[in-house]
Amino acid sequence: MKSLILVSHGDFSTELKKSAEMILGSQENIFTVSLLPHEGEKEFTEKFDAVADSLEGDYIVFSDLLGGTPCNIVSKKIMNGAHFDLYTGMNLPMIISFVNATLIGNPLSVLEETKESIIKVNDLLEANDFDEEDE
Amino acid sequence: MSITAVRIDGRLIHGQVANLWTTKLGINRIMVVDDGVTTNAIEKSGLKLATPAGVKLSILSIEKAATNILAGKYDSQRLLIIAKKPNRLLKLVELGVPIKKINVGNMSQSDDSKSITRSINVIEEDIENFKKLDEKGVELVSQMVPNDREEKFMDLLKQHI
Repeated sequence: MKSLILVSHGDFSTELKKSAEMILGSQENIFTVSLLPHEGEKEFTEKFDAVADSLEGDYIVFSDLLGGTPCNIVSKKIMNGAHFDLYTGMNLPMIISFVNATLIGNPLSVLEETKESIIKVNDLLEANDFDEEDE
Repeated sequence: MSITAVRIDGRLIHGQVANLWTTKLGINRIMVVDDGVTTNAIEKSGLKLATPAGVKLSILSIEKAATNILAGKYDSQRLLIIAKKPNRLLKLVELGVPIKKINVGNMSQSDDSKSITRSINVIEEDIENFKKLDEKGVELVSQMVPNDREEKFMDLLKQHI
């Protein structure tokens, strides 16, 4: 089964995993790597490699911020020839999309499914363009 | 067959239902069966908001739900029926709706409830209704999310009452 590695500034990744598990149940193929305040590129790279090397099959990576250190370090691996998909701007809908895809065996379509997940709820309530509801 | 799955969930449509079960079961209509919710505009708006894109929503009283289902209105659809408590579903069964299996998901705590699992709490009335559903041959299971193992609900219930 494909694995997912979450990388972030601080413990966003581990806490995001916990939040996802509140909804989705325990997730054994989601791993996290946190860049802690006292750590630099070297420490983070070692931690990431330790996780990635322990995985048997393919993996994909979600990172928290384009241009941030975790994303930059993982990007360098791709530039150096590693083959995996890296996404940034991670959020709960992206995790759910990944879990659903692995659950059902569908191809992953994170971007298509989750680009629309950032919504001003007021607009949605006003639009009132809901599907049929029979009274 | 129009009824794809039936779930008891005190939160009705929320993360697990909207994001996991709907996708896993290929649901194209969620039906909330509840006499109270049909007259509560705020609760109805909340349910509409929580329903995933591309999935239709019905919010119906028990009687209306039974009438529509028995009239074959959803025969070409994949229907997920959700109710807060077993009494709604018992009434549907009594009205002739062919419910074969119910997944007991979340039932919230109250002062006089007993805990069956971490997420399922029942009061005396619920226990009686579950027994009646069981006697009517409805298979009662408990499975929070699709990755969890499906457990026999009546066995769980007997361990705790």
